[in-house]
Amino acid sequence: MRTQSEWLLRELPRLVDAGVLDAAAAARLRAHYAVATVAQGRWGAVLFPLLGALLIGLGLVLLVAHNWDQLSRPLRLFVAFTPLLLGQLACAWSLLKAPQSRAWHESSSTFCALAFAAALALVGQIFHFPGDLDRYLLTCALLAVPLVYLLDASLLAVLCGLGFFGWAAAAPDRDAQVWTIFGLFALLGPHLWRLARREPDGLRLTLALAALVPLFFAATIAVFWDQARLALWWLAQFGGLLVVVDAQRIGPELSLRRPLAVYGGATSAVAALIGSFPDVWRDQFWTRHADQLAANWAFLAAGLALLVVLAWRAWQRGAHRLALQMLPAALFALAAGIDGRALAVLFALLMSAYVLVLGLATIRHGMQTRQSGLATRGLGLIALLVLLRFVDTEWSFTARGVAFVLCGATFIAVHLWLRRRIRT
Amino acid sequence: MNATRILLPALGLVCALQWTLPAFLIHRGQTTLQQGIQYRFRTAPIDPADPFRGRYVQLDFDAARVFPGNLDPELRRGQRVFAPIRVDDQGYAAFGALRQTPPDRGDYLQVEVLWNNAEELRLRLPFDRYYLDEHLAPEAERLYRESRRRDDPAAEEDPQRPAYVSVRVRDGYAVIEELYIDGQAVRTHLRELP
Repeated sequence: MRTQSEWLLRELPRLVDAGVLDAAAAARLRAHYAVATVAQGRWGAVLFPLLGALLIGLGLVLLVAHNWDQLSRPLRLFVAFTPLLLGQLACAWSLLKAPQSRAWHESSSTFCALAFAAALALVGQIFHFPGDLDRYLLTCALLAVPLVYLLDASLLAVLCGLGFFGWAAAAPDRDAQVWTIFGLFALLGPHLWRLARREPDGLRLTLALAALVPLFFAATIAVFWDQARLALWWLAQFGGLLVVVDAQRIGPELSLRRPLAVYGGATSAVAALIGSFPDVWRDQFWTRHADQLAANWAFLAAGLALLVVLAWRAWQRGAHRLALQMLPAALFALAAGIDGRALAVLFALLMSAYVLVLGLATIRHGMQTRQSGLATRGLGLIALLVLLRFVDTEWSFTARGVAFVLCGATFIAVHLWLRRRIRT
Repeated sequence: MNATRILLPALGLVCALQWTLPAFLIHRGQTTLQQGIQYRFRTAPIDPADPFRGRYVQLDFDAARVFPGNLDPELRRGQRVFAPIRVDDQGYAAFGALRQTPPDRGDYLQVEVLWNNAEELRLRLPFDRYYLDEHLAPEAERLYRESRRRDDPAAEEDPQRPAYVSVRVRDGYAVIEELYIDGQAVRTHLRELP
């Protein structure tokens, strides 16, 4: 990214001389990329204090974990609470003396939250207090959330997400309900929203989303772990939602600076590819955890409603490929409500057709916009669909063998043709 | 400056909360240790580790096992129920019939169902770990194993020399006082080892 902007800045005088840009536009471009370069430089200054605070905080947790039996209780309590006090003073100093320093805000808040976690662990350890790991993680994460907002701290937001995920993974079955997990992660939503408004293309938002989105998904999917059909529905729906929500924000083009679109596209494709196996549609797993079924269905139905609305809006805007993202979720939702064993092959064929159409639409879009990467991704999706048939026992070996040879030859030919078309 | 005027008191509140929670835990634990009723739970210590709180002795309680005759097929894994505490003929704690609500009188613990099948209902007690120095915890486990095998290597458990923890219970909240092996506090025992 930086190399590209440097290249553009070097090109500006030539573009002005050639009359492609006027001087004012060149000045605006220079100002824009100068700000971006300074912002990137600032990240270096933030990163090292941040890593330092994180390492010191984690080191404290490990030192505490040694269990210093030879020290007296009051001394151990003093050792436990001194870092907490220092962390709190550092937070106050950040607000008072360094209100603009990202490094101070991020480091002091992270250190303070980890010092609290260490103090709480040491108190439990000194007095042999009963306590579960899940409740401990939840307590630490919840008490860190206010610091996220007071000090505008994104690394701490990610650590909170990690704490919520840890709680969901370690909690007994009945405690970690899907709506509770959603509510906990929603506590971090305003922080992301504020970041998205202030620095829509900033690295901080990208990294926070890149970490928090998979954490949220991992925490929620644990709830559906023995409800395979609902888990697949959620997988497809989550992917679709990420893609359409991201497209609402900054347009439809894909890049690694847009984690929502990358995760969403991958998740949605994985769900659809899993759905291309008829066996997936034959099992009935959702009878367990009857007490959680209502909550899980309500959660998934609400998500589906949102996805349908956003997909419909995308369709009206003419973004048909984007609107297609709702189809796997809709199909899984339909199948989850009925005994679809007799329709398993039909469902699998529909899902295969979806992957094929999505792959072809992606190739077409790549060709129209002259993005060879996009066209190759579409081709890759279709290739995956075909490759997975290697382990699909629904088809005979002979049929699969012939199909593989034909598809392989077609892929090579199409790929070469695509490259030539895009270059010319 | 205006923002700092709001943020600083808010930070003060968060800091106060960060002190209040451990202070509350310490106060409740100390009150339980001073005023709670003492029970002895027969146990077998094993030695695991927690990434946050370090090395500890995992306590495997006899009272946590419910066998045929007292099983309740309705209980599900992960369910939390109340267990009234009784004292058996040998002076060790045991549980009465599990309940959905706390009993009106007598001490009780809130326990979690770990698994429930036709042979055994296994419970998780709220106190199942005894923290020790990271070098001492494995020693405690070794001490327990040696103590069991000393007189009769084939014996599963020597009732004359059981391991147990003394626990104080008050209003359903329990705090471990000490772990005993061979009738001696484990820390004293370990200090006396050559």
